[in-house]
Amino acid sequence: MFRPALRWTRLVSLTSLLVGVGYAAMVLCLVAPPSPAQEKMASAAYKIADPYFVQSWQLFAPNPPDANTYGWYQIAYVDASGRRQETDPRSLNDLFVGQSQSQWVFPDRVGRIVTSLDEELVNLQHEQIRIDTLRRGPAATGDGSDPAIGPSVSASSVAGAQPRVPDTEAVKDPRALDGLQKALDAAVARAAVAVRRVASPLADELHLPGRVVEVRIFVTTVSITRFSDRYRDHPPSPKIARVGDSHWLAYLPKGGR
Amino acid sequence: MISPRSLTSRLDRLGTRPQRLIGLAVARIGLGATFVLIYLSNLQYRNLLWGPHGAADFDQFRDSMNSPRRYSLYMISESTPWFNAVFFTGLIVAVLWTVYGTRPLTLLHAIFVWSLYERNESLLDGGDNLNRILVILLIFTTTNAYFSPGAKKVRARLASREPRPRAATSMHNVAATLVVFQTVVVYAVAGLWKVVGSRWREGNALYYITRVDEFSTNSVMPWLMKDPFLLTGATYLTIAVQLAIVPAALTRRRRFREGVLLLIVGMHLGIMYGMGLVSFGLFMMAGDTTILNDDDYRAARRNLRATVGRIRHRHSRLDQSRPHGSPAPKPRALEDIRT
Repeated sequence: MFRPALRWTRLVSLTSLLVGVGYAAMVLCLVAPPSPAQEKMASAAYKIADPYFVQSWQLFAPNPPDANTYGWYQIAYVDASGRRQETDPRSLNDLFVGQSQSQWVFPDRVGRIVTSLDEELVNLQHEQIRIDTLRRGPAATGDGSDPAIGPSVSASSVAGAQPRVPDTEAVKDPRALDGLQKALDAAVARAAVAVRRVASPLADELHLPGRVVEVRIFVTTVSITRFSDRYRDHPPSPKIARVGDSHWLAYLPKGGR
Repeated sequence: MISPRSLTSRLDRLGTRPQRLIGLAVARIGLGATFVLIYLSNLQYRNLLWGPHGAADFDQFRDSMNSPRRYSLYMISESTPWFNAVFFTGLIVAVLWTVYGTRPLTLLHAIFVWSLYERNESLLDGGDNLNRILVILLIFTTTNAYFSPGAKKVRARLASREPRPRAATSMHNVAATLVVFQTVVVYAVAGLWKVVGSRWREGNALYYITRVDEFSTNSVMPWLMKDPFLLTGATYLTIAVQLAIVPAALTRRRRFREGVLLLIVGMHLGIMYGMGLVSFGLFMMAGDTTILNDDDYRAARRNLRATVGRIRHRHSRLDQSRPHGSPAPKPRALEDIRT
């Protein structure tokens, strides 16, 4: 039987140990609290970690969401007289999330389609506001969040989303801003495909009296009653805000692409 | 400074005896069974969730796979038969891995896990994130030394070997340590982030979490979390338990480790029941099982046997002291009659 020499075994042991230490160092760089040093180390570590060992473990931290997020879909169709009609907004959450929750013993993942789409639309809107603010220059203030409700931590923050690499150079360099806008436009195009794929079959199910032409998904948030107001007879009305919108997109017929 | 002799002796020790064989076997069953449940619970929606004409556009998926180091078996063809073939083969491999857990099966299972996760990343949560990391680390470990049909053979092979360092054992031990490290990092990071959050510090974070519709599967938790004492206690306990995992993994005190693990399991059962995050809870608990070492499991088994023995003994004494006219005792086991 082949027996590797002890020194080779030791070499493998040493290599394994060094790889283990390297892995631990990489993980610690990625999960360390944000600081200028961490930003530099994390971007290097992320290149090694992505995609196999991406770390995202905030799990409802630093703060849980203070608002509920709801997705809505709307359908536009042309009726017999040739006039464009729009349906009332209908709840996506009731359809998808409610269905998943109804089998809580082991819920399916269908509800996640809607929650992730909601999250994506909200993020895209925030990103567009951020880029617009950066374009206006250093005089423009604000963090790009919706003033009505503030930068909500998404309800899906439990999901293992990949961390976004911060782009502080964008403020100084207009070309960097163009790059950000280009990346955002690509993300918007990706989200548009998902919106058409989710909303178009729903339009088919409605059997509307006319030809369906466009679909749309938008997202609203409704603030949760504050803990201190939970027993008040008349708590302040919840803040409602529209935080994401796909706008009208062409309907995708069955079997179409 | 470590001397060369000390370094070599440490390296030899690293490769001599495989560690955490029981915990890794339990983790294999937990991770594998949960993944099988994901396959089964989404069986009827598989086309919508992962299919070539589902919610995630296939062309965009294929484009994203062009970046280095990304792969997925689902990208090979856009046809529905290929999708179904990969999906059902993945399901079969997951079942086989859960039962047998050999190293080739671990590798195969990792490929199918990654393929499914890459097909639609928007469906993933923190539990999936942990699963896809651990399944890679588990490729380098022995996960079938316990709770598998060939476990006795594997243990006999390990026991019959002469005690000398081996490369495979070194890799197993390093990977096993990394599995524990990764699990500990999840809790430590989550706990530390909570400490800096105002709502967690104020003790009312769970009130808000239980009012998020997405995570409200019943009315019990929101009702319980209206009580200020329960709410504050549960919120602070969540942070404390998550932070306690670091000393629990490092300490030699078995009772402390077991206590922390029981609290974490309780926390996950609460999350599964109250928030409907069942696969998340199961994946996390599977990772947690690696924190106990083999001696912990053996001690727990001894304690359990002793407790069961005490209960049986007490029952048999009660039966003997039963007065006349009471129902006849059940027939005793053959071993008892012989003695």
